[in-house]
Amino acid sequence: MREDHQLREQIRRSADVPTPAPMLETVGRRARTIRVRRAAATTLVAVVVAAGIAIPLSGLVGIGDAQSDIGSMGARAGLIGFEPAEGWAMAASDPSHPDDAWQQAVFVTNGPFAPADLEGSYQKDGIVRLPSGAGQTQRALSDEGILIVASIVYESRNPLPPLESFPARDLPLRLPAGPPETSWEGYSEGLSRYPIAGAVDGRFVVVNVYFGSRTPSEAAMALAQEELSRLFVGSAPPPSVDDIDHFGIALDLPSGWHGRLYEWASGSPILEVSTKSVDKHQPGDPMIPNRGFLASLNDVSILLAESDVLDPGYMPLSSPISIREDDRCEGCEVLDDGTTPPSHHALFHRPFETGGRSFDLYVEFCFDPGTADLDRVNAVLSLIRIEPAPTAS
Amino acid sequence: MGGDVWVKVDEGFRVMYEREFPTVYRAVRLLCGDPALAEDATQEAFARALAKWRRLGSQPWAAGWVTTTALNVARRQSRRRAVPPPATPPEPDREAALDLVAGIRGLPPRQQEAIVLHYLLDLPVTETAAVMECDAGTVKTHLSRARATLARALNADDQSDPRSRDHA
Repeated sequence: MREDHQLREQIRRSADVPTPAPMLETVGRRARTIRVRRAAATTLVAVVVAAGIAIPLSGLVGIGDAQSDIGSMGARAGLIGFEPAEGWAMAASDPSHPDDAWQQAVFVTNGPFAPADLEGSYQKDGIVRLPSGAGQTQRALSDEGILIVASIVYESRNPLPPLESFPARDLPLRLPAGPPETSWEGYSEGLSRYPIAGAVDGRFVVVNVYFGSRTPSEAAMALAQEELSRLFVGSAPPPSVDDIDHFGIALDLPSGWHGRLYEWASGSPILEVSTKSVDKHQPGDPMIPNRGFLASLNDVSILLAESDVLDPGYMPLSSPISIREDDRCEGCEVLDDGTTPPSHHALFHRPFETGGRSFDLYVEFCFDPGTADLDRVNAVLSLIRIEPAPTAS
Repeated sequence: MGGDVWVKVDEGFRVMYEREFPTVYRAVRLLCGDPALAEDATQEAFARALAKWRRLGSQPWAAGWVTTTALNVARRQSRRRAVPPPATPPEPDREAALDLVAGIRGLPPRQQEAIVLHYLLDLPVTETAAVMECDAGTVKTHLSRARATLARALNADDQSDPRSRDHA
């Protein structure tokens, strides 16, 4: 016991070095990124829940109160919105970057928007923009109050993946049968809601219909249905299976390879490339595409995910994108998805930074690859083109 | 700055973070030797803990989980960085400590984890086992083997280092 105590003291003395200052804000920001990625990767339902309230809304400039104009402006300025109707007020978020315009969320309510939500609001394209969403309006709903939040939550030029969480739906949307939910992640005290997710005109859409009562009246339900019927969604352009050129990332897919480039709301762009078709990826699957389908000595899957944080772990890349023998990462998870590859698989991970953007590159083989196998994958990786981050103006 | 970044942190996490940050940092620094890498890995581990705080927050071994995560992150990243040499030559009264540090860094990763969790974080064997996802007997084995290796290393240094004989 005495020896044990001595060892403990010796180890403590050895480790007794000055520590840097904790940086809680940095930790919080990074945790948010991890949560969003995990949600997008494993529980699309979580994305559905969050999408209505977690759209990026930074970089806005307020120009004062606009309550009296809400609802009277042209509602078709965005990809998603509600036709104007008497008794309803409409507002929208305003993504901070033009390339993120698809991430716009729209809010309609049959009561006033809460003053706190209107702080810093301004008009753009004829629509009042809320800098912080409509969370306070939601909390302040009267018993007969209704708030509907609608947003597009996924962007890609490739075909939508066949996700059960997003069944094909036609407009007008209908309130689901049965009682509304009365408990969910986030603020739900005294409220109820119907979450509706679906693929509408080639876009994944999430709509949350909130009521100010846990047992909304039939009149309130009918009123909500009327407004829901005024929802419009801009049709997506026809998708292409080989158009990998979006978000400043491009790849000319070689013959025999499949790919998909997409972004979830509040997430970052993700490029999946595989020797197997990538349309089987489902919620709850590992992030690496086709892990369960890699079978032959030719099968490889690649995942390139942009990170919205730059830290020293992302080493500058001065040559074409590639993986090296040193990048083997036994026991690693892909984007913290909670899974590790089967023991006979070989996973490589290379975090890198280029042009002011940081990425995590993962490559998984279902066998132990040799130099020729790495060369074959590197030939594909070298075709990926990444545009530099836009410089701040 | 900071006003444009929405950060909402559970109070329990905030308390744990401020209390445990120095210990986790020191544990990682002890094993990797690189201050910058230790800081990055510690921050990353706390971020991962915050991301799953609902499940982790109620566990008595949350700090241990953060520590092992930080160690794994550091190991992964250290393969991509050249660890800088010590900035100054060791002082005589630090020699024993440096021998111990070198001995710990030479242990297999699982023994390193067990040593750090049990001796530096003061986790009981049962909680160390929970963090390492193994049973208590395995932890005891790791600790026993680590102690034996460290004892051999320290004794060998004592006998081979002419300075130690000079002091005797």
